[in-house]
Order: sequence, then structure tokens, then C-alpha cells
Amino acid sequence: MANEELRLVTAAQRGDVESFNALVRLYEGRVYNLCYRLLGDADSAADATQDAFLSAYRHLHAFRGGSFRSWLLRIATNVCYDALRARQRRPVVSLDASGETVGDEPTSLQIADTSETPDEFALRRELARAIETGLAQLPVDQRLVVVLCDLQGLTYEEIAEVTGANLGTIKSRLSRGRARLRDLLREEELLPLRFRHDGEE
Amino acid sequence: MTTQPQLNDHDLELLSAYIDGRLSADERRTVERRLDEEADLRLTYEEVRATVQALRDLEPLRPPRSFTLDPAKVAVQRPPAARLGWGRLLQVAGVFAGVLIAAIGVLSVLGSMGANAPSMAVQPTAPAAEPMLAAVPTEPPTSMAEARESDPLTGTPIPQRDDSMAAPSALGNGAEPGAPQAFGTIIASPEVAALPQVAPKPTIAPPAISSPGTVDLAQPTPVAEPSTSAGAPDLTLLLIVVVVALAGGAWLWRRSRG
Repeated sequence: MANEELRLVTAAQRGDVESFNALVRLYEGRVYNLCYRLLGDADSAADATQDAFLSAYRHLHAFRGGSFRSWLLRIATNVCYDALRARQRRPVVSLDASGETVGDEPTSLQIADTSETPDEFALRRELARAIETGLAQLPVDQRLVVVLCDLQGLTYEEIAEVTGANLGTIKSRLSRGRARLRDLLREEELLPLRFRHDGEE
Repeated sequence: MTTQPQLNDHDLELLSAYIDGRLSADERRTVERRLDEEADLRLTYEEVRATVQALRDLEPLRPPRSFTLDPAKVAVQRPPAARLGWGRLLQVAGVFAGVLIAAIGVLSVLGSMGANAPSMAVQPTAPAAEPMLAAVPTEPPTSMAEARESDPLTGTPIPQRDDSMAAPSALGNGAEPGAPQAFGTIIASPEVAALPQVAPKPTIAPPAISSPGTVDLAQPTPVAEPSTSAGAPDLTLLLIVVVVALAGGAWLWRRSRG
């Protein structure tokens, strides 16, 4: 797999667009998910993903080996940071993360899959919604590390490559981000173990 | 309502790294011993672990569309590494040749300016130049510059006088003190005075004196000068041809690469 990826990268560096598109197909899901978790909405994530691949193609000559995945995710991270900075200069309202509620239910344009209605599924959906909300509330540096570690499955060393931060900083940001998410889930009583501890008491 | 334990940052970091298996053996044993002894620490650990599990259980989103690049659209934005081919080399070589032509042009101008200095230095030794003047009509001209210089003396027609006037006029004008004096020396020589019909138009002669041909009159070895002055135009012409060929080659190469 690594050899095939290296072959594709080398061919793409020589201008073979189809080889680069093979790399795009390999990583577009991962890049899109990273962008979505950092930006919080689908349209911005799609734009950032496209920009990230275009930027990667244009700067492919600067890739000097190592982990292509980390290099690509770093580019995507920078694109998302640029988008967040632009958003700060010109704030927009995200319908998904508007925070508006009707009763106790948050309003969202996402339509639930009504074909599955078990209680476990409902609880899992609620937990996922709370996680997404909590991620959106994290400082972006903590959010990035949590997403890369717990959603993307990168090691600390790979996260260091993507973020440019040292391992100590990564550990600190990760523990703080997880703790803040834990606080949010506990406030919404969405921690299963919490209920078990309540029952034990 | 239950208690909500709040640990310090160091303990939270230890628990987070413990969940990820990133502690040393000693640190891990210490954490496990504390988990057995401290209820708050154990509760926090289980909550953080549940949070991490919830994160990892989050289903990945499916991209709404494909993000592959259109080869037709990115063809003009080919990575720079791909552009470093023959076309790029030809372009660089063309620029280099152009710079070389400009450098030769500058050097030739500087050379013609420098040629006036020896004529001024020779000026006080006018008697030494007179024998050379006497020899000039007997020697056939070996270059255009020498022919221009010898025309007033031999009385032969000057076919390209307009061209020769153009370049030196900016360099050998009357502002240079050496040129008129050298001309005056030539006219005053008795050999020249013996040819009354040779110099009917003295206004043409002064620019010719400041040309490289004047040096030939003053230098003891005039044979070497014609060879260099004749070689420069040939080299310039050759380089122009090279530049045109390289530019055409680069254009054809880029066109063939699309």
C-alpha cells in the first residue's frame, strides 16, 4: 500500500492528474471528515476539501517524502484555519450549530433516519449530536487534536506532523479537549457510566 | 445528585495518556494503583473513557461528492516539477542567450569607447603617426572600419557612410578633446596636403576618426584589430539565431505537452 501510494505520488509529481485523482479517492473521505469536524457544516467542509486537494496538487513538488496522509491533512487543516479566520472577519450563521431550541430539542436541518427507531439508536444519535455540539464549542486547537486522535485515529507523532506542535502540547490539548467534552456529556446526562454510578450511589 | 470530581490538569493528562496507552511502565503502574485507591480519579477515568469511546463511535460522514480534479482544468496548473522539462530548459537557455547578446553589445560599445583613449595618447607623438598615414593608401583595407578611415585619403567612393555615421555619432562627438586634435594632425601632415581632392567634405571625417579605425592608424600592429571587429557581428548573428531557435523549440514543446 505504501509503495503504491509512493508510486502515485511520484507520478502525480510528474503531472499525471489521474494518479493524483487516485490519491484523492483514497483520502477524500478522511479530508472531508476533518474539514467537517473543524468547520461544522457540510458546504464549508466540501469547499475546504476541494481547496485542500487543489492546493496539494499545486504544491505537490514541495512534498519531500514521509507520510503523505499527514502532509495532506496538514494542508486541509491550514485551509480550514483560513476559512475560520475568514468566518471570524465575516460571521455567518450555521443552521446546524445555531443553538436555537424548540422546547428541549435543538433545531437542525438534518432529518433523522425514521427507518430505524430502537431506543439504542435514538440514544446513540443523541450522543452523536452532543459530541458534535461539544466539538464545535471547543477551542479550535483542542478540537483539531481531538478530531485527529479520536476520529481520525492518528498517533501523537502523526498529530505532531499535522499540527506542527510538540508532543507535550498535543497531550495537553487532547486531555483538555476530552475533559471539556466529558463535562458537556455529563451535563446532558449522556454518559452511560455516569448513570451506572448514579445507580450505584 | 452526585458529586462531580474535578481533577487537576496533570491528572487529566495522565488519564488521557493512560487511555491511549502512552504512559511508561512506571507511570502506568502508578496510575493503576491510584485508580484502585481514589474513587474520584476512577470516576473521572471512566467518564473520559466513555467520552473517548463516544468520539470513536461517531460515524464518519460520506463526502457529498467526488473531489477528483478535472485534468482539462488543471492541465494549465501542472505542478512545477512537471514543468521542469525540455521546454523549461529551452526557455532558460533562450534567456541566457539573450543576456549574452546584450553583454556582447555592451562590451562592443565599451570597446569602441576604450579605443579612443589610445588615440588621445598617441596624439602628442604625431610625427610617429605620419609614416603610418603614408602607408595607408598602399595597404588594402581589411575591414569596413579601416575602409571608412582610408576613404578620405584614397578618394574612393564611400558606399555605407550613412550607417557608419549612426553608431559613432553618439560616442565620438566633438565633446571629446582627443578626436578633433587627432583629425587636425592628420590633415596637417604633408602627405595628406598633397592630395587636394581627397577631403572635400571634412564634416564627414570627424566621426570616422573616433571609430575603431583610428586605432589602426595609431597602433603599431593594426592586423589584429580587423579580426576582432569582424568576429563580433558574426557571433551576435549566431546567438540571435540560437535564441530564435530556442524560443521556437520551447513554444513547440509546450504546445505538444498541452
